[in-house]
Amino acid sequence: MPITLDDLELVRADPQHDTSQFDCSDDDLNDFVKTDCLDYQKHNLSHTRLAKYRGEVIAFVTLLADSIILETKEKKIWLPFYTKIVHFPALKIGRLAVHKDYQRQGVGYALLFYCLGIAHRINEELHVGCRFITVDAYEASVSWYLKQGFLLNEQGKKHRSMRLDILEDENANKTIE
Amino acid sequence: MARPIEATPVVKGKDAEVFLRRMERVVVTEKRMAFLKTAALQSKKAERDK
Repeated sequence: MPITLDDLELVRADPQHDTSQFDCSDDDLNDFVKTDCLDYQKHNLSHTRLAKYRGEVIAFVTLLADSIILETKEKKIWLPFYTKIVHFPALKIGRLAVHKDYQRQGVGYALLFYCLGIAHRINEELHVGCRFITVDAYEASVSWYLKQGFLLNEQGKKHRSMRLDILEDENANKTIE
Repeated sequence: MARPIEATPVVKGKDAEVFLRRMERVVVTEKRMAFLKTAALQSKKAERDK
């Protein structure tokens, strides 16, 4: 049975929640949740939610405000409504990791679903525009994000910056190129 | 110390054209809005330290 968002408790990163045993098999991500995330949070650079399952921290997601910026000359091109817009508002997944013992059980999708919910709440409850979810995906995770509907921001380069249009229904918009 | 969170790159040239064309053509469906609404409700429910 996959673990869903319903099975998780999401709490704000705080010293009272023990992350010392967290291990997603990536030292950088482990270090971030064990030491750096509280500094980022203190300075409003990002906020981290710990996902607890049966009382244990099994995953985390770090979010921050972002935008997709078009090069200045691109704003002249053909999309009348957007001619003056060069910054497209987004919610960025700065970090997302799942404990190695809980990988491939749906936890990553549950956290992505959580992020979609946050993006919708930013629009509908806070009345702040947010059209995209962005992520800097690890090379090994790019295929997973593609499967979830993300697109690479720079198709021509082997870059990991990706985006998901929260309004785009992947089934209804299959023919869009 | 973990590596810093990187900035999203500026999108330009062909990538920007594809970006705008795709954004313009998105058809927002009731199904998608219902999906987002469910995600919003569940995200709120999952937050135990509100």
